[in-house]
Amino acid sequence: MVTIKNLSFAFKKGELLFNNLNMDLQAGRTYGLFGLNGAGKTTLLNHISGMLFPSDGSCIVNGYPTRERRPETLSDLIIVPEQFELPPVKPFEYINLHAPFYPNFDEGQMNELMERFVLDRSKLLSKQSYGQRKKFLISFALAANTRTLLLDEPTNGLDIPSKSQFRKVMAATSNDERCTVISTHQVRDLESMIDKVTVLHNGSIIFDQTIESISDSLIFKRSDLLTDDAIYSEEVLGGYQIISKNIDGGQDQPIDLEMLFNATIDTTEKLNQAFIIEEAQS
Amino acid sequence: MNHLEPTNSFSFPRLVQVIKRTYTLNKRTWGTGVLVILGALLLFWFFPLILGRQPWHQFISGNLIQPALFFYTAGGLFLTSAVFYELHSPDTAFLTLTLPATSLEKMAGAWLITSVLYTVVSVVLYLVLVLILHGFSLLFIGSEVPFSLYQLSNSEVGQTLVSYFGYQSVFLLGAVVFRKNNFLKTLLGIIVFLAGLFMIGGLLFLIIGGSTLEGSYSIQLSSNDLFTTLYSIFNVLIVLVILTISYIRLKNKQVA
Repeated sequence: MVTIKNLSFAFKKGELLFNNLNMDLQAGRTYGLFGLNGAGKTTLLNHISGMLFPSDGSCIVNGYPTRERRPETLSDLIIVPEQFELPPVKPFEYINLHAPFYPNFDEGQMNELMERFVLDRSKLLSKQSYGQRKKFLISFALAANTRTLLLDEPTNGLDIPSKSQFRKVMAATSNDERCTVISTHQVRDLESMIDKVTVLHNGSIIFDQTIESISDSLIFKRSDLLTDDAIYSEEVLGGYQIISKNIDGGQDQPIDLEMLFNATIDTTEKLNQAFIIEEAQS
Repeated sequence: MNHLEPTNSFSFPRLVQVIKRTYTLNKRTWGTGVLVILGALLLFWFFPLILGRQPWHQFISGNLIQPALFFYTAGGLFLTSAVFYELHSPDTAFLTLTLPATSLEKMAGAWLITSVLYTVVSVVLYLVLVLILHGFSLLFIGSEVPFSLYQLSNSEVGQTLVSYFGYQSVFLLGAVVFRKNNFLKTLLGIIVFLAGLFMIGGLLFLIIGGSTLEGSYSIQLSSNDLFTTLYSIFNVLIVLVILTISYIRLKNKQVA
């Protein structure tokens, strides 16, 4: 569905942000794109949406390079940026102006989502709060029913009930044809929704595993003592939070994405080694 | 809700939707601009009357057209400079760049709305204003004042329209290229270009016509009909080239 092939990109000459980046994103999956500040998460989403062009390599969505900005490709792809402004129009005007470009846009679904997010229909979008605007744009993106959905920090600016509503809405609208990419720092907000974890660091993908595979290969546990089998550990009150190799197939605790992310940054090779052994065994 | 066919070739219904979108997103700003211009024109009309320096009929028959043409040109060029404002901010660029329409439709929509449609609306507004003033004079003076619409068919109007369509294409290019102060930067660009052209032209005349500028006056190019035709074709070609460059720049525009 989305294929990134040998993508290289630099904002400034000689300062490569991506160097031969490769990714293959499938329909029916929700990808969690993680990375430190400046890792290039937003830049990658901008490439996928055709807003930036690779210096080298390609970014292909549904068979066509996104840099061509073909209406057929763009009408099946939508992005909710992290920072954005909306024009000084009322929600219904925005819908009337933009929805016709998306052939699968569902007006009924849009109304339902606006109700669930308790959105103000009478106020100009430009006058609404950041959180309200974000919820409107997320609603529009979901109602557009595009096969590629790109969400850049979708929970930033949302209050606690809205975050919870967002998770419910995402779960309710997910389908086998849609490929969703969520770029975020707030891993705890979204860990229940993600089924593949991709970590971007220094212009490369340093970790790319499904939740199933993580669950099969790693174990997240709490221990009073630091054990030798720990791939990564964090000191917590009264002991350690540990990630170790899952040998017996059990799982003490649910996957802690925040800890996993820290582990990918600190002990990249050691962590990935656990998956190589797992793959070799299978 | 009617959905547009997501074809990759040029689509007229999509062009109409792009125009509708551009108009709706800008209507509040443009509406304010129209009110300011109409207000300014009324001031032009009222001041000589209040000061008693001009009788009714003189003004109605001629003077309104000049400020109207000035405001038509200036307003249109301002409007053109800002037509792609979304492109130049990282917070709004996604609205234009990911809009499922071809770059040609986006460019054609911007050009049509700031040239043809703008001119039609300006003419209609001008006629409405003239009719209001005519009615006003009938009502308050109680007698018919000389009134005709010939003003819109004189050569000054024609020349202004031709110039506007020429300069408008340059300002459209400026609207795509410059991130900030599009109007002023384009204006500066035109001034620098024309100054350069005059300097080169002056040098050429000096070389061709002799050592003094006096010699150059003997070359009477403007009286030649063929030259006038060629000059017009050249102007049209220049506009087409500028519009093509604007389209290419838009097609290759990336997020700011």
